[in-house]
Amino acid sequence: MENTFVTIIAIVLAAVLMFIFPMMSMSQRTDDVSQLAVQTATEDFVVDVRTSGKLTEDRLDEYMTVLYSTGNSYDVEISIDVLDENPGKKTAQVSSDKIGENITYSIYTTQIEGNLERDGYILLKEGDNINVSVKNSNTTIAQMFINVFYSITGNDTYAIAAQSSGIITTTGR
Amino acid sequence: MLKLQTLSVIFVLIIVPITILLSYYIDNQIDTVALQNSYDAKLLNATYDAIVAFEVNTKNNTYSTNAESIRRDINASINTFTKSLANNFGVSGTSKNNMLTYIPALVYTLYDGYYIYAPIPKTTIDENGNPVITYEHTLKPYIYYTSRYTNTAKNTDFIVNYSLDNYIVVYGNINGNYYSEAGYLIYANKYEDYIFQNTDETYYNDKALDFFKKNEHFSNNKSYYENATEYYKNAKDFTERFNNKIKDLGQLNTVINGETITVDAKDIFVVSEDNDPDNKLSPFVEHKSTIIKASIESNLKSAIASYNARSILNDTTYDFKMPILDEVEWDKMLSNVSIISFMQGLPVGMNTYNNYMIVTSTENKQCIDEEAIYFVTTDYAGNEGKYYHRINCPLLNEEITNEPGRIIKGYKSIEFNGIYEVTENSLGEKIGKYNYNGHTALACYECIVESRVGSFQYDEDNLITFKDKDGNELSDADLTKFRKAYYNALFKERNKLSKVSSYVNDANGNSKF
Repeated sequence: MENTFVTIIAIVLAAVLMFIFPMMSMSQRTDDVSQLAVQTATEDFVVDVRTSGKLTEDRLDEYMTVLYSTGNSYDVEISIDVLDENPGKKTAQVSSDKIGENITYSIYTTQIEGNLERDGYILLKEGDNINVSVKNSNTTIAQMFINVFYSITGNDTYAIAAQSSGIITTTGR
Repeated sequence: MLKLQTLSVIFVLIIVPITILLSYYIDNQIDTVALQNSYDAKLLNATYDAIVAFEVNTKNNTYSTNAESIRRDINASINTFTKSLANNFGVSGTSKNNMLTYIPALVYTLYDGYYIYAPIPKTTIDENGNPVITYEHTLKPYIYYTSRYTNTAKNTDFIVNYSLDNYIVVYGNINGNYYSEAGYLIYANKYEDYIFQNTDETYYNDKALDFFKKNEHFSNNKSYYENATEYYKNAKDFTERFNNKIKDLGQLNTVINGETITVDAKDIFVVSEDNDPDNKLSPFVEHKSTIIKASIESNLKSAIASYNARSILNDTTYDFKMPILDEVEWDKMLSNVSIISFMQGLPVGMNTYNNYMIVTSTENKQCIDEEAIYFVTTDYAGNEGKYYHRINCPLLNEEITNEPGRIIKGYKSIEFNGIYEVTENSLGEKIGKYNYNGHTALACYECIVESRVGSFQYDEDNLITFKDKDGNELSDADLTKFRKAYYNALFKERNKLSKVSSYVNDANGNSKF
């Protein structure tokens, strides 16, 4: 009886050590590599848009291709803060320590996608802002292993995420 | 059973260290990439701050086209770059200059030449009387976009200074005679129908003329019309005379990247329908681009070689290299004033950082960007419409369609953005106010705020074309009206642009072609 119990424990331990642990470890490393690719692609994409002042459908497709090449699916959220200098111009006088009262308003992913479908590109001007955030929407193998031990609920159930933003440095042509 | 346990232990002993090492390596790589990305953003932000400083300083500097004055503006911009970079990296105080150690070069490409800010060797004598070489970042002398052309058989040896548009300066011997003249090369025939004529009722009637004479903004004592027509006449005249002198020169030798190449004078310089200097694909523009790229590349290589000498001196092992810029980046740099910043040799995780950023200016007084001219409609009393637009904005067309009597006028975008002026009121309080050069119109939400109107479109003759708000082609009369408005505004602005190199034009008319 005692021998059988020890044998079962040993088999379980052996399974954990020889199969589950390496699998967990390797799947986490896979997520890490994906994280690396996603982070780099996101930063490159944002720098491209910031320096060219132009967001094109082709460039967005190229970015999405890099994301999906990691084998996961992603939620990509893009927002553009459009600078409106007109309210500042309407102010006839401002105190000497103010430099205009500019406002921005935002357009979001669905509007951006709509514009890209219609025109193939979106031109941005100097002073606008772009913000891109991406997180995986599927459950990665590493997440499945983690979920065996404890489950996370809520919005933050992603394993791969990247974010990048910045001001547009030149008016797009 | 024991055998299985032993195997398990051996397996674990092999796998665990490998996994841990792999994990450590990948984590390290992720940190490195994250750090590298953050450096990219910091370098880009610092370069952007530098171009904004340049724009603000030159915009508020009446003498910004003067060579010495612009050196001050550029030095101020470099200072902004260094401070911004240091602040972004969390370095402050005197140590901020250490950031320069990683900057092998900063390049300011301007209208007709460029500045390089790079380390140069400086020899001092130490307390023992021995010479000590140190390197100090210095703004090197201005380098023109220039090339020398020779044909000894025809006693020809002249130099052409190029610019970002079709303005050139030519000086030297052509067929044994010395000439020195500057001007715009244009293919005038295609603009013939779009120049203001005395018979043009829309633009040239008594009321309008009276208004424009009284209300010109930044007109340099010339009216809107005079500036535009003067540009056209001078450019046409210059092009014809230059072409006559140069068309029979045959093969000319010039040096590009240390290699002597031969170009046909007629193919490159003689303007025709197939060689229109306003067309980016023309042989003239392609040749000019090659000259400019070669000049910048060779001087940058030399600056970075100097930086390598510094690294040898400091006993560092990093081999600084001149990166290869791609065509898109060159196009950006050749379209307007730009800054290229290089950062190399900075330790980043297990690697060394090596990158560059290019930021192009959109608003400055050094260069006329063809797409950065904004248009506003006015009535004969001079009242501006509510919004200013880009020329291809359908809402501009709508304004004219709704009120056909309105006049379209174009100005450089910088004029609508205002200059901040501080004055004192009667109580001695300082009051800040933007001076919009008399413009009351606001930015159109369709074409300027949201940039929903695309880039300019050109027809097969390389003339700008437009569509109405429903996407239909304009009638011939409307097309002519808009082309006339656009080209006259462009010509007026080009004519008003101050050029340092225009001094070669002899006031007495000597040495003209």
